[in-house]
Amino acid sequence: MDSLVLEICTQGLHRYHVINQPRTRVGRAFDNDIILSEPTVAPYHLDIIRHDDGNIELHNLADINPARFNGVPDTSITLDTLPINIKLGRVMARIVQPDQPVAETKTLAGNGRSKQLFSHAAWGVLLIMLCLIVSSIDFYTHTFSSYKWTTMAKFVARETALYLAGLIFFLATLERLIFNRWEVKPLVVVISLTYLIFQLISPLIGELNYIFTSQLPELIFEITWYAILIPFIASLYLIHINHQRPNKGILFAMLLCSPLIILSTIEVTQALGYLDNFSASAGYHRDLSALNWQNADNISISSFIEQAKTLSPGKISD
Amino acid sequence: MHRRSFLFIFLAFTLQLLQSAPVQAQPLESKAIYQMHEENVFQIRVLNRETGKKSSIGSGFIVGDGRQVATNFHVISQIVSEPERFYISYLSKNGRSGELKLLGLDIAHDLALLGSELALGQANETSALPPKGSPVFAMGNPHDLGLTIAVGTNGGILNQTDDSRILFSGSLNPGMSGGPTFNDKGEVVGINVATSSNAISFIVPSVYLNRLVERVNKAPLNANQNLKAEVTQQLIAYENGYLKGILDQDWPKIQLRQLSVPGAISPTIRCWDNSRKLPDKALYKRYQINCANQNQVYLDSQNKFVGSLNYHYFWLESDELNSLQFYNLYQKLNESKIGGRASQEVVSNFNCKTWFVDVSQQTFKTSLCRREYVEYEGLSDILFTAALTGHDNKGFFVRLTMTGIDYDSSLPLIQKFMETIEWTP
Repeated sequence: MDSLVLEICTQGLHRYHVINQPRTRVGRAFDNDIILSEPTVAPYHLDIIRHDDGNIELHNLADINPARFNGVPDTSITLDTLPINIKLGRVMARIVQPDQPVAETKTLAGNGRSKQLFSHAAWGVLLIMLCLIVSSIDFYTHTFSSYKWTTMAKFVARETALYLAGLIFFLATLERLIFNRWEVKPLVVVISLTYLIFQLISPLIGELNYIFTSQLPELIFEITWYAILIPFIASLYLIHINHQRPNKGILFAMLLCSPLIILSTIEVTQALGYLDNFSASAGYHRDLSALNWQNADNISISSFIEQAKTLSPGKISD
Repeated sequence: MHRRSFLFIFLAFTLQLLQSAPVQAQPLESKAIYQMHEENVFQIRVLNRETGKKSSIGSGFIVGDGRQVATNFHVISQIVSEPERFYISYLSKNGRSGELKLLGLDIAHDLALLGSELALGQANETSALPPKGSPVFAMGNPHDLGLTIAVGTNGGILNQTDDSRILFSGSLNPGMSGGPTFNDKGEVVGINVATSSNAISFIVPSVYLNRLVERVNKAPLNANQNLKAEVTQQLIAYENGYLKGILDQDWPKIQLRQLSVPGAISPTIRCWDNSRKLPDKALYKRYQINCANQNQVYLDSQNKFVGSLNYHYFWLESDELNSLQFYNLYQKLNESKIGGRASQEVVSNFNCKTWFVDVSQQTFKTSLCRREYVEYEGLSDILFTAALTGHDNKGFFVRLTMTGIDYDSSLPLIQKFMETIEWTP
């Protein structure tokens, strides 16, 4: 009589018990063969009986939260093919053959080439340093009074170092709670890279706004960044570094990023006038540029007045 | 005997002279003026038809044919906003009351003429304004506390209000609006209209009341007239006349660093330096000038005042910031807002458009925004801004706002405004 394997999954954790006795009892009571410490499991919940001919008999023993076999409630079931899914209260379990094929081995986060980027501590340190340098440049270009270097250091520490540390801590904790993993080094790399890309692209978007005398580049960037790129990066991280299944990785990424997706979508649709929102302020185009590249031609005062005559008032809100 | 005869003749002659001199009215004191007019100055009340309770109060007085009552438009403006909900009533000192109908409006000068079906009493006579410094007496019902009289002096007609206000040194209080202001002969020289702090109050000259009475006698408002359309029409007519007056005259200029810009383009406008103190370590300099008119017009309780014409100049320069830093600062400061806390029930959203316009061989990034009044078709608020571009370390922008104005009529003013700006290399 070959042995079987009972796979028990609780809160994302998988445990495996080899069943080689003719009869195995599962439940919360301490005299069970397999003890499940879960409040929704009955003291004696399931009996697994193995026959010499290879058949397996499963008996539900619970009055409360009775066991379901392949999704069907039944008091007992006899079967000769495996695997079979069993639900015991809130616990998902599965009986499989010992020779059941297992998923391919995932490479460690950062094995091979990717290790150079995602898993090496030096990259993390370097990228954090780059973030701090970019933050210092941002401080320099947005400070219009003379200052001491300590002021800049305080700004960089407060605005960037603390922000990045807080974000890394939050996401690492979330990852630990949801997926039971600590992936701090790859997380540092991904977050620093994302921060750097954002800091480098933002000024270019301002220039595009000026060139086209339109808020459209900014709006496109906002919706692309928050509603597409950030969830995309989160999905890649969950699939390739956290080794979640693609559909699960995408789902979690979307859930995690849903506040960003919702807020950016509302903001952009509002700015494009698709929502019937009232604003007492005049949303005119106020970007200015040191490069002064403009797509629109200059016009004379009289042409401006002629064109201004066609300006209609804004929409009346319902 | 001879000396006695001479004395007698002298006394007799003096008496004769005194008797034959022309009779002149003696200046009245506040007590006499109060007693003379207490019966023909009323409390004007706007009452809710449902509850019968007061919604707003002011003062008024009998004019014209003795059935007409003058007051301020802002006292009874709810009648224009919600005629089906409110009605106007007067209350005399002796408790007599009755309903009044709206006969005519003068929006520009905040006047309203009301009418009664019954004769109300002796109409007050109007007169020209006495010389500056003369005593004048304002009567009214402050804070619903009863009829009173405030004594002050005539401070003259204010040209910054487009001659629509007299400065009064007495203390007017809420509830006295619409009451009469008398000279020392008891004749009406104006109508109480507004107050400021420290006994600075304002009166509408009686000449505008006379014109309103004359107009109403010829063509009173009829009961079914669209009052909001009438208000809009009057306001646009006044504003257009005001703008035409501004456009027809030469504009003084202000030199702001390398730019020559329009100064106080009307006697109603005052310009002030508004340059704020910069931080000691600032690596730039900035200068600001604000110009604003004083002759705003009361529209209703939601919009309050319209007809403002404000412009604001802003110059920024730096020898120490690089162009990237400079433009970050310039863009941060380039923010123009239009005043007021308008809601969606009152105005539409703004619609804005931006152009690059050549002004005096310089390029200005120019934006024009417009919104309209929901209940006053034809009235718009306008925001015009123009920011100088193309200089590494010099920036300038102007913001011009106009409220409650006909959009098309504002464009010639904007055009002249831009044409007047001159760049000095």
